[in-house]
Amino acid sequence: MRNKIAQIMVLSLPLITVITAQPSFPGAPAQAPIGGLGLLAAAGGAMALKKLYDKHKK
Amino acid sequence: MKAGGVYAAWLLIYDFVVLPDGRVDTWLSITGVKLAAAGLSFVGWEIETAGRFIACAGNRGVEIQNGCNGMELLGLYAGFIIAYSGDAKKRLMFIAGGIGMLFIANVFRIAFFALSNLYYPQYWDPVHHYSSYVFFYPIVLTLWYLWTTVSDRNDIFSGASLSSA
Repeated sequence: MRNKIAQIMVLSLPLITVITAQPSFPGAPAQAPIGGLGLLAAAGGAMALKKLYDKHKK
Repeated sequence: MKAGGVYAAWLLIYDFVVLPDGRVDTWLSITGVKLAAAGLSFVGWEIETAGRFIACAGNRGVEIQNGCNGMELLGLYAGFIIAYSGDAKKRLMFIAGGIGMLFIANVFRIAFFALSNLYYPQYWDPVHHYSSYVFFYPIVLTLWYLWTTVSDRNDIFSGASLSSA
């Protein structure tokens, strides 16, 4: 019985190479943040100021 | 000043309450990914999704994280509408309609990311950096402009003056 277990263990050793040689995962996923919010806020502020300026000009 | 105050208040609420809680952001990210995947699958692309990940089958995926799903933009958009004077009913319509349009734009943006990773993966950096300028900002600026025009017209008719937005 012990011999059989030893044989199985020895014969299983080469299989470790097969197990560790699985294809790897594709690259890390890309993330998608939103940029330029400050610019958008500035554009909104400029738009509001322009409207106010035009309003006071009339 | 008022718009800046509303936006600052929104940022504080978002950074310290909404983002750490994560439920609304997670819902936005996952729903956006599901709708983008459904749309792309409907028109014939083979799409794989897992939670907040989306990819064209066998290609590099895109992860829509909390804080990257347009939630902050929705606050900025609504903050301007709230701060600029106008009729309350029209204001609600502009906020609800604008948020709906930006949500749909975000679905298109996510779908575009998945396709750009399939066809032009080498351009990922500029694509994701400038996507907001194409998908979101024209909508936001147009709606803001319309709102200032509509509220001005309302002011002319009602005789009320503008508040300092």
